[in-house]
Amino acid sequence: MKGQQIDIKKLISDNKTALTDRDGLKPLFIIAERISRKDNLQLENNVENQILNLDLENLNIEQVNTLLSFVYYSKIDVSNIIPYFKKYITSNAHSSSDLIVLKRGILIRFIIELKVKYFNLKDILAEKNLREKSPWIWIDCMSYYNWSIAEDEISIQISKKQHEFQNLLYRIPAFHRRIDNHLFCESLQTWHANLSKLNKQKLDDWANKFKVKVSDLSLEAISKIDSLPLFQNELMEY
Amino acid sequence: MSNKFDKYLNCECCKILDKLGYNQVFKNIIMDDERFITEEMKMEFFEHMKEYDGISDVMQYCDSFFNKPSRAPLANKKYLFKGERVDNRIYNIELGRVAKKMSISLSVKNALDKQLLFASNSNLSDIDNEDALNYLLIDIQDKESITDNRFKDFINEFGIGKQILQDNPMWTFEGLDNDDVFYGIDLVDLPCLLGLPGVKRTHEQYDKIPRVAFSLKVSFEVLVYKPTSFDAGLTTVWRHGGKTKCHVECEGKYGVTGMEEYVHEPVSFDSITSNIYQI
Repeated sequence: MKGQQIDIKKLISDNKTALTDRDGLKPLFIIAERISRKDNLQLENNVENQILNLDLENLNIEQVNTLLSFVYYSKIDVSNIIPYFKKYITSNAHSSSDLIVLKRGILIRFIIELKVKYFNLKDILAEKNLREKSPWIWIDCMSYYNWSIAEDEISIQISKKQHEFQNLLYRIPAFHRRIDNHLFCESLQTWHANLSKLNKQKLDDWANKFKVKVSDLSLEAISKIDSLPLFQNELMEY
Repeated sequence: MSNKFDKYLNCECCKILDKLGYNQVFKNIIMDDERFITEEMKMEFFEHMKEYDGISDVMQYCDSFFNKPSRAPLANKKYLFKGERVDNRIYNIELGRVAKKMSISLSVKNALDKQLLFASNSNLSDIDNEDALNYLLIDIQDKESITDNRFKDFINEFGIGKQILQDNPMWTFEGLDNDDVFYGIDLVDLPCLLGLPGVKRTHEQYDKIPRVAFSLKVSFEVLVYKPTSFDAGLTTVWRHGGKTKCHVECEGKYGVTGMEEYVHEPVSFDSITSNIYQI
């Protein structure tokens, strides 16, 4: 049997069939580990060249996700890779296909997270297709530029189906990390006020689990106090 | 070592791996119990090594043998899970698992992405996923003080219990107590106690990899085996005998007996019985 070079395209696509090591890592991410050690420049250059020759148009969502996870964990030098992603983003800017909108969205988000200044607030506001078809990706992007706009969009989304609310729950630690604590706690209170009883409890629980200290009171309690008539409020303060 | 394999040890691939310090891998294979890893299978391995083309990544080439046929499901892999099948006692005890933190991070993200992509055209970024995971993982010093099972709550809330923790074979171990696999063990010692490999799959820097530990119970439909050299693959720290072999650094503290080790098909998230501890 002929041997194989490290084939990034194959490893991204074969992620399901490849064996893990004893610690549970697939070969693609064992390679990511090797590159992250920064002691094998030849390997890193080889892999970088392969990434730059991938045809992003023909990768499906799972493959793009795997590619981005690989780039993230390998800490590979992205100075050539990011412009390559940007080219795809730009050339597909007017597509309304759900798949392409989502692919563009996660690539845009990835670039923003690396703090590469390719985009600004206006660019994200202009991403109307992304906002409509993949609102949580859009929210992730917007949260880096304008929290008020992101918060409003979150309010809209969590009033829809249950799984939209789950999108928020899992993002609590990430939002809490990058938004000012006071601001984020106010947002939690805002969202809390408009949720079902069950979801209020969940938001409270998960804020606690994720160590978001809103106040010494639970969100539920704060909400109840806020709904008291004014003179009773004054009595409590007294 | 038996001389019937000596001729293969001079092939280019074997010489390269020997030079890189992986000679123990060949010893493990050659010495393996031929009731499970037959002479014919050993020959097939060495024939594969002999056919190395000289230009591929040598470790990936070696790994590809153990994964044959590459697209087959685990039950149909030719060289994995060939060791002794473990009896049903295994389903009544808690087993321990130590994994790379990156592996758990990716598992959780993949599981959630499946739900979120389908339901809401959304997924999580790796950086945001790590933020969430960092809150779910328990530091060792908090192990006794945290009484709720945070990870179980998370699995239940997000409905990923039935999803498989990883796609491929899992290694687990049996502790000193059937109901508490970590009894008598300082969690921070686990990589040493289990004799886990470092980034190069050797002893080197084995303690520099961020890892997590948790307990689980295997369900009846999962088949459990004693590992063979083919399950261990290209790692130099594994030894025969069905027990873990601790690194020399903790022999003084835990002795050299080792703990029963197993390899099996992957389990689902809801098999996890404890919190997930950062070690």
